[in-house]
Amino acid sequence: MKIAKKIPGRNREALRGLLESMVEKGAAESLFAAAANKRGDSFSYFLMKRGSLPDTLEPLPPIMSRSAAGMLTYLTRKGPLPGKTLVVLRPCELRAVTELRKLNQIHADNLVTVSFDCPGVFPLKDFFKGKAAVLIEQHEKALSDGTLAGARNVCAICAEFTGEGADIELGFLGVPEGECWAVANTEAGAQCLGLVEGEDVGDLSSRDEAVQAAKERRAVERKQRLLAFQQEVGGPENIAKVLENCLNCHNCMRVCPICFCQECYFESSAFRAEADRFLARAGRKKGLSMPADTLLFHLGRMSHMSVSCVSCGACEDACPADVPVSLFFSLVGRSTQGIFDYVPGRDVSEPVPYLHYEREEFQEMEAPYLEKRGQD
Amino acid sequence: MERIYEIQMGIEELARRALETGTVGGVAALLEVPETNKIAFTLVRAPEDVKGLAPFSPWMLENAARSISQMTREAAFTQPVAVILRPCELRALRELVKLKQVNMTNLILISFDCPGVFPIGSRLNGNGDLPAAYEKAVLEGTNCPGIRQVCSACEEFVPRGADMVISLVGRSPTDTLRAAFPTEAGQKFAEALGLLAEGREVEAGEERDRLAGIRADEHNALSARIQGSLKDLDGLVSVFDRCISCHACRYVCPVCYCKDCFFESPAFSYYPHSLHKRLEQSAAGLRLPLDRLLFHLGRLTHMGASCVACGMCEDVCVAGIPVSQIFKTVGGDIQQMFDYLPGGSPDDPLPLLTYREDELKEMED
Amino acid sequence: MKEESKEFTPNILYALCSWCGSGGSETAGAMKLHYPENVKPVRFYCTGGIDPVYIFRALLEGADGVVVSGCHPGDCHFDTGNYRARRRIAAVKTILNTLGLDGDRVWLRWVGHGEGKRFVDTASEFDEHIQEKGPSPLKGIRGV
Repeated sequence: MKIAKKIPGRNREALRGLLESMVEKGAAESLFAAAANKRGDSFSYFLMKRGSLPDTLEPLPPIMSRSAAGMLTYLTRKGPLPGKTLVVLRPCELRAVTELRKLNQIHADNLVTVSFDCPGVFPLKDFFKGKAAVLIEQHEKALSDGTLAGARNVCAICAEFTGEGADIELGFLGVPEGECWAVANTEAGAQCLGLVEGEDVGDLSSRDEAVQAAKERRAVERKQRLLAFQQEVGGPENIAKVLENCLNCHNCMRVCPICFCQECYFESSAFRAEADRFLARAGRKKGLSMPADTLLFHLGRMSHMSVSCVSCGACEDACPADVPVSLFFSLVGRSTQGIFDYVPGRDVSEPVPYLHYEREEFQEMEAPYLEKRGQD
Repeated sequence: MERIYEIQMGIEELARRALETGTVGGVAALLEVPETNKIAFTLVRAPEDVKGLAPFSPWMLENAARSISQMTREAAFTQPVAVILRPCELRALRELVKLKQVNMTNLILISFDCPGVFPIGSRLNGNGDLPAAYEKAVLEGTNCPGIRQVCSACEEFVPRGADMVISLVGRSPTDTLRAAFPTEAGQKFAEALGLLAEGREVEAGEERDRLAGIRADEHNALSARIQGSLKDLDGLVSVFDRCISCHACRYVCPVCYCKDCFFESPAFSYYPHSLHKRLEQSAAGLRLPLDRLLFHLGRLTHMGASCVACGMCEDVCVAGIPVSQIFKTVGGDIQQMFDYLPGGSPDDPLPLLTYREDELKEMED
Repeated sequence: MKEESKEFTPNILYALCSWCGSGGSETAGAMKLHYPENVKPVRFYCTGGIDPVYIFRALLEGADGVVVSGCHPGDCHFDTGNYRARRRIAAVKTILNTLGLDGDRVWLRWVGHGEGKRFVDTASEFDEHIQEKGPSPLKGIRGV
């Protein structure tokens, strides 16, 4: 039986209150969530302990400085956290966590996940250029509306914006003004949520309807946007155009939660060569732009991680050259995930496509052989 | 007094002729790829591919010393290759030689007095009136508004150790090239191309001196500003407050050559129970990832003595932290203490790889 | 034999596993069968060890097409390497097609150790297929 409770307060206030009260009542020893940094105009993820949750706690920041999934890899790659920890994640971060669990990069024991209806976030650079207080207020409004003007490319077309895979899911959409609904999706979630006071939500249908309608709308927008982007980037010349500003700095890879390799192939000795070989390449390619292998880096990374790409947009936020990396990877991810009928983050028991196979599949990818010719 | 030669051709023509005559087997310089708006440091082999060569264009998408390191670290060129570099790139290159990351054999080093470059960001927002303003500033010997902060405070804008030094400040793009050939390799290169016909001894123009004066003032102002903001721990924490720990600054740094960076090593991969211990001891919780300040301070100690203040780190910082200004200021202090100019004399050993028995007593307690 | 007066001779990489694919080429040799000289075999330990990046890198650095042959399903020397290869090649073709870069320049066809004729047929057929397509635009993109 699903537990669903009404949590009083405006959106971010409600979530903060819920977290504080769950931790206080002993649901967890520690809390992993975003909080404001020292100056108050930027946010990071923090690991906080019961009894001293800081006033700066801001579990719904209007930006995503880094993917929380990457931070959880940082925390738990070598083993599970020793105490029970409440973990607040955006839906895309939650999906990345699921992927990283499959890839043995996150130990999820002791983690209780909390997620929410996410309206998206502002691009990092836009937020840093703008007025923090104004943007935070806009973001607060967007939590109820579900639409954030000026959101990042991938946020604007995100159709998987609810926390349905989390132990505890917070609903802002289709919920009466001045409260939000906390729904426990699992036994672990129910145990934690059971500790806090709150009137039961009898009928969840108003939220379900609002979410369903928004999802359908977003799915259409996503498809249209990605197809339009495909028109824009398709073909060799257009791809060169899209990547013309790329510095080949690999920062997209470094902040990508899915790109977990400690030693990236694209930074390996496979790219070392004698000077004369570079010169030979320069002749062949009518001039070798340095650092070389920009397109190879992106294509290669697509082949390595696009099946698990959760469209979180961290890559684009970290791009110093404003390359639309996240759309690029969302577009390709849509195709590669499509052929494997795979949705990254859907289910932790679903194997990652590259670590799995069927004996009879993809025959259409083989070139059919018709023995037609005689011996030469 | 150095002898400056008038050269009756543009830089593109010069490169083409060097390739055509076989004087060099390759040319590497900033090049505008004709099919796109891409500008990149480009290695060219065929004479016809030099089209779009633009070594003086006011952009720096990477410090080219990194690429030359990538090209020559395994084995040097077996035929001469001319590389056209900004002075800060040349200094980085000369540091990398000391660090055994570059093999200079067969490189012909061409440089020029550099008026500075614009931040990468201003290129993305459309160039607008920038080129015209830049040309004017170059002609007059002033700082063009909008160039990188570290460029406007750069006093090392005249190259050292180049085989060919082109005069840019005080000249207009339509003027003929003027260049000096201070080294034997440079003389040979010029001779092979027949560039030594029209030469005369000249003094550096007053524009260059004017720019040097402006730069010195700007440098003082920048140092004061940064020292002011870093005056205590509180200031230090505030300056790096927005840092997302992506380490992009390290990655684009020409001097940070380590293949395996200490700050990305297992030394910083913690066991969960040790993290929890730290959590118990902290009042406000742990900001993740840890070691944000340690990274910057550590990098300062690792490469501060060799920082050439090229400004790449700041350009790629999405959090807008004045990384290069900080490194120029603090690195400058370190360099001053050791009386060391990165990329200066090849005979000066790296400060942290040498010592004297009787020095730095004032640092002892 | 190939015609001498062709306008375009494609540069083709033929990736073969050490067991069946290479075995097929050896059988072809024993049978004195010919395949086009512009098809250059490259040996991999197993098709399952062919990272998609190798294929992309070949296409960007000068190959007009890449064809992969390994053991038939069920015959893999390492039991399942070829199934993994098939998934990766499916991904490669999908990525290329999504970006308008022509996934049909990459072929996968199983060749058994004894299938010398199938090996040379595949080489010739792929050669003709790429000749019809013309030079790969991927190797000529400047600046990336």
